Amino acid sequence: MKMLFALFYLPLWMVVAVWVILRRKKALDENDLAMRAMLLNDIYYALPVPKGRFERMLIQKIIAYIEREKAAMLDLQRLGVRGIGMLPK
Amino acid sequence: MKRLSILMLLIGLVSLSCASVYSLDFYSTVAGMRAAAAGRSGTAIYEGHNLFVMIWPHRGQYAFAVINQQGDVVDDLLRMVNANGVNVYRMSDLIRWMESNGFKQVDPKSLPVSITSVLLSQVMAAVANGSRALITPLILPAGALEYNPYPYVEVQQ
Repeated sequence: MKMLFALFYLPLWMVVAVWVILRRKKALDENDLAMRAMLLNDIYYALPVPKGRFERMLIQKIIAYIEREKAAMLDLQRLGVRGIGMLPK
Repeated sequence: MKRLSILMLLIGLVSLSCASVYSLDFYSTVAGMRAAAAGRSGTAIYEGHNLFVMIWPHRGQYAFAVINQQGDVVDDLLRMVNANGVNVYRMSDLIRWMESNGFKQVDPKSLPVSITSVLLSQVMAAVANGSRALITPLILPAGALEYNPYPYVEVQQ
Protein backbone atom coordinates (compact mmCIF):
# COMPACT_ATOMS: atom_id res chain seq x y z
CA MET A 1 0.00 0.00 0.00
CA LYS A 2 2.81 2.38 0.89
CA MET A 3 4.35 1.64 -2.48
CA LEU A 4 1.11 2.62 -4.20
CA PHE A 5 0.95 5.89 -2.29
CA ALA A 6 4.56 6.57 -3.09
CA LEU A 7 3.88 5.97 -6.77
CA PHE A 8 0.68 7.96 -7.22
CA TYR A 9 0.81 10.70 -4.59
CA LEU A 10 3.20 13.60 -4.47
CA PRO A 11 4.53 14.54 -1.04
CA LEU A 12 2.77 17.44 0.64
CA TRP A 13 5.71 19.84 0.55
CA MET A 14 6.00 19.37 -3.20
CA VAL A 15 2.29 19.98 -3.86
CA VAL A 16 2.28 23.09 -1.68
CA ALA A 17 5.41 24.38 -3.43
CA VAL A 18 3.76 23.95 -6.85
CA TRP A 19 0.61 25.63 -5.57
CA VAL A 20 2.55 28.64 -4.21
CA ILE A 21 4.39 29.01 -7.53
CA LEU A 22 1.22 28.73 -9.62
CA ARG A 23 -0.54 31.33 -7.51
CA ARG A 24 1.75 33.99 -8.96
CA LYS A 25 0.08 33.83 -12.34
CA LYS A 26 -1.83 37.00 -13.19
CA ALA A 27 -4.65 35.44 -15.18
CA LEU A 28 -6.08 31.95 -15.14
CA ASP A 29 -7.88 30.30 -18.03
CA GLU A 30 -10.01 27.16 -17.82
CA ASN A 31 -7.00 24.84 -17.73
CA ASP A 32 -5.37 26.81 -14.95
CA LEU A 33 -8.61 26.81 -12.98
CA ALA A 34 -8.84 23.03 -13.34
CA MET A 35 -5.18 22.67 -12.40
CA ARG A 36 -5.68 24.76 -9.29
CA ALA A 37 -8.72 22.70 -8.27
CA MET A 38 -6.70 19.51 -8.76
CA LEU A 39 -3.84 20.88 -6.69
CA LEU A 40 -6.21 21.79 -3.88
CA ASN A 41 -7.52 18.22 -4.00
CA ASP A 42 -3.99 16.84 -3.90
CA ILE A 43 -3.10 19.03 -0.92
CA TYR A 44 -6.25 17.82 0.84
CA TYR A 45 -5.32 14.16 0.39
CA ALA A 46 -1.66 14.74 1.26
CA LEU A 47 -2.40 16.43 4.59
CA PRO A 48 -0.81 14.58 7.52
CA VAL A 49 -2.78 13.28 10.50
CA PRO A 50 -2.43 16.00 13.15
CA LYS A 51 -0.85 15.07 16.46
CA GLY A 52 -0.51 18.21 18.53
CA ARG A 53 -3.06 20.95 19.18
CA PHE A 54 -1.27 23.42 16.92
CA GLU A 55 -1.14 20.95 14.03
CA ARG A 56 -4.83 20.17 14.43
CA MET A 57 -5.71 23.85 14.34
CA LEU A 58 -3.51 24.45 11.30
CA ILE A 59 -4.93 21.51 9.37
CA GLN A 60 -8.52 22.44 10.25
CA LYS A 61 -7.91 25.91 8.82
CA ILE A 62 -6.45 24.41 5.65
CA ILE A 63 -9.35 21.99 5.21
CA ALA A 64 -11.86 24.82 5.72
CA TYR A 65 -10.02 26.88 3.10
CA ILE A 66 -9.96 24.00 0.61
CA GLU A 67 -13.67 23.25 1.09
CA ARG A 68 -14.53 26.91 0.64
CA GLU A 69 -12.46 27.11 -2.53
CA LYS A 70 -14.01 23.94 -3.96
CA ALA A 71 -17.55 25.20 -3.32
CA ALA A 72 -16.69 28.49 -5.02
CA MET A 73 -15.04 26.64 -7.92
CA LEU A 74 -18.23 24.63 -8.53
CA ASP A 75 -20.24 27.84 -8.68
CA LEU A 76 -17.81 29.45 -11.08
CA GLN A 77 -18.19 26.41 -13.34
CA ARG A 78 -21.96 26.63 -13.08
CA LEU A 79 -21.82 30.27 -14.17
CA GLY A 80 -19.64 29.47 -17.17
CA VAL A 81 -16.63 31.49 -16.03
CA ARG A 82 -13.88 30.98 -18.62
CA GLY A 83 -11.13 32.92 -16.90
CA ILE A 84 -10.22 35.12 -13.99
CA GLY A 85 -7.34 37.48 -13.35
CA MET A 86 -5.97 40.44 -11.50
CA LEU A 87 -4.22 43.60 -12.71
CA PRO A 88 -2.88 46.74 -11.03
CA LYS A 89 -4.95 49.93 -11.38
CA MET B 1 9.86 14.94 6.45
CA LYS B 2 6.88 15.79 8.61
CA ARG B 3 8.55 18.96 9.89
CA LEU B 4 9.22 19.91 6.30
CA SER B 5 5.54 19.39 5.44
CA ILE B 6 4.39 21.58 8.34
CA LEU B 7 6.93 24.21 7.32
CA MET B 8 5.61 24.18 3.75
CA LEU B 9 2.05 24.53 5.03
CA LEU B 10 3.12 27.55 7.05
CA ILE B 11 4.79 29.04 3.97
CA GLY B 12 1.55 28.46 2.06
CA LEU B 13 -0.46 30.24 4.74
CA VAL B 14 1.99 33.14 4.83
CA SER B 15 1.77 33.38 1.04
CA LEU B 16 -2.00 33.76 1.40
CA SER B 17 -1.59 36.88 3.48
CA CYS B 18 1.45 38.24 1.68
CA ALA B 19 0.54 40.84 -0.94
CA SER B 20 3.50 40.18 -3.21
CA VAL B 21 2.40 36.59 -3.88
CA TYR B 22 -1.25 37.18 -3.36
CA SER B 23 -3.43 35.87 -6.11
CA LEU B 24 -7.13 35.73 -6.78
CA ASP B 25 -8.98 32.95 -4.97
CA PHE B 26 -12.18 31.28 -6.20
CA TYR B 27 -13.89 32.42 -3.05
CA SER B 28 -12.99 36.09 -3.49
CA THR B 29 -13.88 35.80 -7.19
CA VAL B 30 -17.42 34.72 -6.29
CA ALA B 31 -17.70 37.59 -3.78
CA GLY B 32 -16.39 40.10 -6.34
CA MET B 33 -18.72 38.88 -9.07
CA ARG B 34 -21.64 39.21 -6.70
CA ALA B 35 -20.59 42.79 -5.96
CA ALA B 36 -20.34 43.56 -9.67
CA ALA B 37 -23.75 42.00 -10.40
CA ALA B 38 -25.25 44.06 -7.59
CA GLY B 39 -23.74 47.22 -9.11
CA ARG B 40 -21.55 48.18 -6.13
CA SER B 41 -19.29 51.21 -6.45
CA GLY B 42 -15.94 50.62 -8.13
CA THR B 43 -17.24 47.68 -10.14
CA ALA B 44 -17.93 47.55 -13.87
CA ILE B 45 -19.34 45.13 -16.39
CA TYR B 46 -18.29 45.06 -20.03
CA GLU B 47 -20.17 43.19 -22.71
CA GLY B 48 -19.14 42.18 -26.21
CA HIS B 49 -18.77 39.16 -28.50
CA ASN B 50 -21.30 37.31 -26.28
CA LEU B 51 -18.94 37.68 -23.34
CA PHE B 52 -19.33 39.48 -20.07
CA VAL B 53 -16.25 40.81 -18.31
CA MET B 54 -16.85 41.69 -14.67
CA ILE B 55 -14.36 44.01 -12.96
CA TRP B 56 -14.13 44.79 -9.25
CA PRO B 57 -11.52 46.24 -6.87
CA HIS B 58 -9.53 43.65 -4.97
CA ARG B 59 -6.76 44.36 -2.46
CA GLY B 60 -5.61 47.59 -4.06
CA GLN B 61 -5.76 46.11 -7.54
CA TYR B 62 -8.50 45.23 -9.98
CA ALA B 63 -9.74 41.70 -10.52
CA PHE B 64 -11.78 40.49 -13.46
CA ALA B 65 -13.74 37.45 -14.54
CA VAL B 66 -14.74 36.48 -18.05
CA ILE B 67 -18.07 34.73 -18.45
CA ASN B 68 -19.03 32.47 -21.30
CA GLN B 69 -19.16 31.45 -24.85
CA GLN B 70 -16.67 32.42 -27.56
CA GLY B 71 -13.35 30.85 -26.68
CA ASP B 72 -11.07 32.76 -29.03
CA VAL B 73 -11.66 36.17 -27.53
CA VAL B 74 -11.27 34.84 -24.01
CA ASP B 75 -7.99 33.18 -24.93
CA ASP B 76 -6.68 36.37 -26.52
CA LEU B 77 -7.65 38.40 -23.52
CA LEU B 78 -6.07 36.05 -21.00
CA ARG B 79 -2.93 35.61 -23.08
CA MET B 80 -2.42 39.36 -23.11
CA VAL B 81 -2.91 39.64 -19.37
CA ASN B 82 -0.49 36.81 -18.73
CA ALA B 83 2.15 39.04 -20.28
CA ASN B 84 2.88 36.75 -23.18
CA GLY B 85 1.84 39.78 -25.18
CA VAL B 86 3.29 43.15 -24.37
CA ASN B 87 0.20 45.34 -24.36
CA VAL B 88 -1.62 44.79 -21.10
CA TYR B 89 0.08 45.74 -17.85
CA ARG B 90 -2.72 47.54 -16.07
CA MET B 91 -6.49 47.43 -15.91
CA SER B 92 -6.69 50.65 -17.91
CA ASP B 93 -4.78 48.90 -20.74
CA LEU B 94 -7.23 46.00 -20.63
CA ILE B 95 -10.24 48.33 -20.73
CA ARG B 96 -8.69 50.24 -23.63
CA TRP B 97 -8.14 46.96 -25.48
CA MET B 98 -11.69 45.81 -24.80
CA GLU B 99 -13.20 49.10 -25.96
CA SER B 100 -11.21 49.03 -29.16
CA ASN B 101 -12.36 45.44 -29.77
CA GLY B 102 -16.09 45.97 -29.59
CA PHE B 103 -16.75 45.70 -25.87
CA LYS B 104 -18.89 48.32 -24.16
CA GLN B 105 -19.75 49.04 -20.55
CA VAL B 106 -23.23 47.92 -19.57
CA ASP B 107 -25.50 48.36 -16.59
CA PRO B 108 -25.59 45.36 -14.18
CA LYS B 109 -29.36 45.27 -14.71
CA SER B 110 -28.82 44.30 -18.33
CA LEU B 111 -27.06 41.06 -17.37
CA PRO B 112 -29.00 37.94 -18.40
CA VAL B 113 -31.36 36.65 -15.75
CA SER B 114 -29.56 33.28 -15.78
CA ILE B 115 -26.38 34.98 -14.53
CA THR B 116 -27.92 37.40 -12.01
CA SER B 117 -30.25 34.78 -10.56
CA VAL B 118 -27.32 32.46 -9.90
CA LEU B 119 -24.99 35.19 -8.62
CA LEU B 120 -27.49 36.81 -6.30
CA SER B 121 -29.10 33.60 -5.07
CA GLN B 122 -29.06 32.39 -1.46
CA VAL B 123 -26.77 29.46 -2.27
CA MET B 124 -24.22 31.82 -3.82
CA ALA B 125 -24.55 34.09 -0.78
CA ALA B 126 -23.66 31.10 1.39
CA VAL B 127 -20.62 30.37 -0.78
CA ALA B 128 -19.54 34.01 -0.77
CA ASN B 129 -19.79 34.09 3.01
CA GLY B 130 -17.66 30.97 3.28
CA SER B 131 -20.39 28.82 4.77
CA ARG B 132 -19.50 25.16 5.15
CA ALA B 133 -23.13 24.14 5.54
CA LEU B 134 -24.36 24.60 2.01
CA ILE B 135 -27.98 24.05 1.14
CA THR B 136 -28.28 20.83 -0.88
CA PRO B 137 -31.67 20.40 -2.51
CA LEU B 138 -32.58 16.75 -3.02
CA ILE B 139 -35.32 16.03 -5.52
CA LEU B 140 -37.04 12.64 -5.30
CA PRO B 141 -40.01 11.31 -7.24
CA ALA B 142 -43.21 11.20 -5.25
CA GLY B 143 -43.50 7.97 -3.27
CA ALA B 144 -39.87 7.00 -3.79
CA LEU B 145 -39.22 6.66 -0.09
CA GLU B 146 -42.12 4.22 0.33
CA TYR B 147 -40.90 2.00 -2.51
CA ASN B 148 -39.53 -1.33 -1.31
CA PRO B 149 -37.10 -2.81 -3.86
CA TYR B 150 -36.94 -6.17 -2.04
CA PRO B 151 -40.55 -7.13 -1.26
CA TYR B 152 -39.90 -10.87 -0.98
CA VAL B 153 -36.88 -10.79 1.28
CA GLU B 154 -37.75 -11.96 4.73
CA VAL B 155 -35.74 -10.86 7.67
CA GLN B 156 -34.48 -13.81 9.68
CA GLN B 157 -34.39 -13.32 13.39
